[in-house]
Amino acid sequence: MSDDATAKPSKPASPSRRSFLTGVGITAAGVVGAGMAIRQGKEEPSAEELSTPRAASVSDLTLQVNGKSVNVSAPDHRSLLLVLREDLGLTGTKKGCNLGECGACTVLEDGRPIYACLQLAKDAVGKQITTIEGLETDGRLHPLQQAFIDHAGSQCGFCSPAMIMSGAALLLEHPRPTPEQVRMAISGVVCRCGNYPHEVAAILAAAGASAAPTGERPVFPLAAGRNKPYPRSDVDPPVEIHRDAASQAIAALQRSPRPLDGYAKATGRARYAGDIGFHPDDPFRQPLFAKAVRSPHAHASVVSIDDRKARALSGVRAIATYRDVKAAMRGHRTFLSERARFAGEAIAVVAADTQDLAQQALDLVHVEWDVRQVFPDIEENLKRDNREIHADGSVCGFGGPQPADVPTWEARVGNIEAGFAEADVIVEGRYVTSRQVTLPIETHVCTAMWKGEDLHVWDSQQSVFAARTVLASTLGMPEERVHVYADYVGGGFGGKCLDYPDEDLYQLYAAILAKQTGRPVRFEYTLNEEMASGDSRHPFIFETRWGLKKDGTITAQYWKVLADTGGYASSGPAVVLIACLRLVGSYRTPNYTVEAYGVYSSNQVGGEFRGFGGLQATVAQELHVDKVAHELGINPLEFRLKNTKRAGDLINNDIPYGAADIDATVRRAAERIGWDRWQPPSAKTSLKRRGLGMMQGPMPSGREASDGLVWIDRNGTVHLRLGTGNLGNLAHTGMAVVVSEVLGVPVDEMRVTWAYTDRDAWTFTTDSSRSVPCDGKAAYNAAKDCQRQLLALGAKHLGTPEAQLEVRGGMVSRRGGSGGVDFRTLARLAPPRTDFRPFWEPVDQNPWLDQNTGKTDPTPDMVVTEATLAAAKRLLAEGGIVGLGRYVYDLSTNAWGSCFAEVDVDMTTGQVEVLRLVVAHDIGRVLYPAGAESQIHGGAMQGLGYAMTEHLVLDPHSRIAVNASYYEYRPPTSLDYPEMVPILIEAPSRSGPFGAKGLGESPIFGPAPAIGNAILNATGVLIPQIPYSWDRVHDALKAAGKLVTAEART
Amino acid sequence: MNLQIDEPRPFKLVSPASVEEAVGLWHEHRGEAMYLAGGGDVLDMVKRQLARPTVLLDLKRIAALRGVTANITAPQPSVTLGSLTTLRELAEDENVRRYLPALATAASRVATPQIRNVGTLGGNLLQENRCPYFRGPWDCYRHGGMHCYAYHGFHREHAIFAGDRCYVVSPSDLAPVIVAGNALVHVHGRKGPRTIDAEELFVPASKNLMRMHCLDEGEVLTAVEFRVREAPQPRHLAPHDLGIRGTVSPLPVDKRFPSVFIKFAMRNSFDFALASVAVFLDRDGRRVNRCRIALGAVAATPYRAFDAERVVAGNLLSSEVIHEAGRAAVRGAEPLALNAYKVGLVQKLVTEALQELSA
Repeated sequence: MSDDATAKPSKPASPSRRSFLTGVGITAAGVVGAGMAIRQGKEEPSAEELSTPRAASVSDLTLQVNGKSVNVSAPDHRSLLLVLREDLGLTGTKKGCNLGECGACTVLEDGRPIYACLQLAKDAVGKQITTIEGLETDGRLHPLQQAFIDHAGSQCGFCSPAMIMSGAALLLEHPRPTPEQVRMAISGVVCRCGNYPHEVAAILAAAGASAAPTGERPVFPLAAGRNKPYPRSDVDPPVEIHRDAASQAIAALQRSPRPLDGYAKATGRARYAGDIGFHPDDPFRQPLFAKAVRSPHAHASVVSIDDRKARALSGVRAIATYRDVKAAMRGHRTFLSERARFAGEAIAVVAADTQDLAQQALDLVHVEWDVRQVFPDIEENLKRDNREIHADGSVCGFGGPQPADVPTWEARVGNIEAGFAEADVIVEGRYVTSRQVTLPIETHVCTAMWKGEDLHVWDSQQSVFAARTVLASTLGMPEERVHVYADYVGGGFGGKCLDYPDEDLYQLYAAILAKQTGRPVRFEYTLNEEMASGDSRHPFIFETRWGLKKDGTITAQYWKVLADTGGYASSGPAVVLIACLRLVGSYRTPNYTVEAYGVYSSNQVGGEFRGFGGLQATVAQELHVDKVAHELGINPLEFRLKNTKRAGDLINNDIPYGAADIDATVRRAAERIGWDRWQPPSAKTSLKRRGLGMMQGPMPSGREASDGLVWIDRNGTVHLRLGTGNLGNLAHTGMAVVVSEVLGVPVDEMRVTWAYTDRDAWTFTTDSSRSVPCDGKAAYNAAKDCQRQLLALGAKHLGTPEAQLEVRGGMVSRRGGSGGVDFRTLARLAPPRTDFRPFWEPVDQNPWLDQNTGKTDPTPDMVVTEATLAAAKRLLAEGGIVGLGRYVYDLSTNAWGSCFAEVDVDMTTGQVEVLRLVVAHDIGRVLYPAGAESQIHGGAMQGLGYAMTEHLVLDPHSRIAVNASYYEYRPPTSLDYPEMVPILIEAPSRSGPFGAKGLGESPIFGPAPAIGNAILNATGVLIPQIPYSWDRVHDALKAAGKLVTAEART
Repeated sequence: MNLQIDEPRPFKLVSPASVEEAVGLWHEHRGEAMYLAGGGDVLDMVKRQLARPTVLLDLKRIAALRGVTANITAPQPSVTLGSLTTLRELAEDENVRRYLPALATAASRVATPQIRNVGTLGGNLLQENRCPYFRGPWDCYRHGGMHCYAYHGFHREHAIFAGDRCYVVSPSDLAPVIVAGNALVHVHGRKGPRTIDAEELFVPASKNLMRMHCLDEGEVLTAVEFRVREAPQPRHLAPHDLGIRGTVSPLPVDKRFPSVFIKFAMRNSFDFALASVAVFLDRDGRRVNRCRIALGAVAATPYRAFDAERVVAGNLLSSEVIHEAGRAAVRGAEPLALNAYKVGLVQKLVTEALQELSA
């Protein structure tokens, strides 16, 4: 069965592809479990292929690109995408899935959009190809590009060129399109940031189209569209902002800035990690291409690896296996261990001259496996303390594997037995959450290069400083010898944070291979690797029991929490912790117990993802709240407002919540959805039933410490150096607004840089909704530090006491007076700084938990880190004024949020239509309205996916992901989102910049529980598991006897 | 595991100028060559190295394979569609929209604007199934194995009709239309041209597990011909399918032979159908003489809903008839553990399609 299928025509008489499906066979030496046979996806190579690559047929092509004839020599099998990007350096066209599933590579061929990844370059001869680089005429932007800048059309920006090209093609045919036509036109491009409403608005604006539909027929008839409420013919409603009085006094908030990176993203000039290496001005050219040999088994150990044939293939430059790394590291997944604990784990890595050769070399690495039993069931693994995966225990703890009788985290407050004893009603529930993947359009990609003893890494990385720390420690190098660059990141959502040493350290593979070869080495995930072997959101199982009085008072809560951390711990313990804090921190309960376990399994590794445990807990808790309210016969809104924790209540018996306007956040959203229409399910009898559902609760708003660095150079220009990763969160613009306010310099006139370890201020990992509240506050303090120095210098220069001066409009002036002295003059007068203590105020010094010692320091040292200090000293050498700031997160800071959903459920089929989502967030201070609005759209879009479609399905036997593609995983497209109503509330925090709190993760929390509760409200049936896929809702209605069957329906 | 593969093994791209040349080249490179049309499926499979041809024969440069020819005024009116006609061309063609609205709708509902700009009629009809086990590293029946991994694993989108060891579904949106429309499929092989009924193009699992369609090796699908009104003496005399009577009708052709297509997919873009239905009617006034209903994505082939057709034929499209037909359409369905929802979905789609035709 494992014969070479190409050498021997197969039996069926099909004309084409059947003959070429790869040979079938099992190269595993060991026993294959449970009646399972895995094809290795590779055939035994023919003798000639062992030493020589299959010859490519190369032609000299003349392509018409952006109105010019271009000569290029390319093999027949090379896609137009690779020729444009790698041969012609036109990297504005992005490579996403590379398989026609995401749309990021959209270009125009004779004026019509096509996927460049599914077009062969040779096939494009004679066609007019237009890329994003070809839209500008005489240095002037296309109106669409300008509109994308003006309307914050980009979040991460990775799909923006494709969106703009799709829009350009539409405008060629329909100069004044309707919103529906625009949604149709961009429906071939997935925006994982979920910025569709802004993209639609930008295209409509560029067309100068009125908001009202013109009645023109749609571009394509939408026969199935009528089965769903989408696509809608109207435009998306604008964000509703409730400013508090103090906002009026903040001058910078009265302006509406453009996104800092809008120009780079709308023109294709933004260089993402995968774009570097193909332009004349890049720091390196012609990298080697690396690929990983991955385990086809979910649990197996390597008996032997024979890589001799691969090494013999000409063009293969290096191969690394576990033998090439230190023994101490072998327990970690990341160091190519000789053990595979999930399907897809990397076992060996190969670097070759081309991607074709690297792929071919994979087939020539022969791995002999000892296949072991798989253990996919976390409840079973916990019950019998399964030590087969990790010998020290079945539970992941903060200090490593631990036995099943030691929870990862637990809390026991009050007297739980007494609490249940005094209850009138006991309500139990069991909730199961799904395996969502981050699925950034830009897959993980990096290039590593050594310059002497220094490692340089260009990475698609959310968090350059965390990545540097992990890489330095795993390589045993000093941190300052590792340099990480991440200008632009094509979507992160948590999945591109390298901050645990047992993540898939592809940067490390590239570094090892680069060291071996002395060449830059590029490692890029394929879409399938990204989805099937990357990290995914931890699936959880929650079992709970609540005691309640008849009036709705909660007397006791018991929670047993299991999280599937997969083969390795990674972020597992921290995810469990955040989930539990959410459970105990939401509703006032005198007696509660939580026992939580992160459990090892043979499944894909659980990882970091927007929401980070808190989301899973919110789904369970908010569904249970509705179940409780349903059983007590209380309106779920009133039940929540009666029991919710509020400012001053303790989060978990220790830290009190800070200010939040919960009533406004909940009630304003309730008004917008029309909650007064709420009726219990018993009132509904039609075939199609309408339901309303909601959630509310505290939202993440940061953690840990940040440094701030602001420099006023000798020309008086203000530079803001942010360590924050630019993963498309638009927070950088908000932070620039903060500095703009302090120094009185417009955002447009500042120079803002980010995410390069040698240049920008150190900050903790860019995660946990911390950019604006933490990095923003550190930047505020750094600006204040500049202000302080400016005033001192100004006083000297003007001969006026400091108290009578102010910083305003790029000048130091007398209060209320005119004139003064400009920054340029003062920057040139400034003496070199010798004291590097940062500026901070008492609210910025908060208790800090040292993760190494586990101890909390109530008054941590307020000094900047070595990295920031080094960057500051480099700047001082150039002169000017350097401002330093420091902030340590105040644990009582919490944003607040609510989400309301309206759905229709077809009782004959179980089909759920989400009609409307209202999402309200108290974020303290709205610094950048367009950015905040787009975060709400995007978070709610991902939350919608989490609720309705997204779940990485693992085959029950082999534990290999079966839907690792956009087609079967199904992130929402521009035709798949309902009306979304964003609402922003301002209730300032104690220590955030101008009171700002976090928002990055928050909007993803609401849709899944709110939609689930709306389904309960429509049907009376609680679906205790997400996603609410059609089959699941159908089967639940049927089991409850609520499905209207074929016979009954007429 | 071939997770890491997303670029093809090197191959040579050859562009023959005629069908004869293409067929000749195929046989010259027998066992090594594949035909390339729009590339949506073939390039995907080649890039994942599910197929490793050394030669791709690009059919796009063969002008004869492209375009829509309407011959409405002839004694036997027909619309003939070249197999390399793009989906977008089908969706926008005035004759297709008028005489074959189901086809125009189906073409406009495939995937995305980008795919419709390059995807072709022939490629859509002949595409391989989408079962993730078939496309993944599993040694299933269709790869010569002895196990259906989907049956024992994840099969939410699999067949509810005519499953036989294998439960893949026909993914094509155009396939149910050509079956419901009783079209003729023209193919060209080494022995020259031949014509087959649309229904015969597709191979059920019970007949052959290894293939989705019946074309011989090296044959090229050249055109699909819809007889807008059939010949009085049907060429193909199956008992259930006597063709459409040659009676004189006061209705114009496009009103007398209306058609409709409805697809349901989880997303409104990109996705393959969870289920689809195509219905073609022959009617005088409101009374239906004949009716053909084909379901997509519920069996390995476009699945004729014979029971529903019989309910409709000879009747007025009343609410009772329509609902009775909807119920009849799912008679005999055998859902698997995870796809029972498809039964209600099919019933709903058939009902809606008939309601649309009765309006």
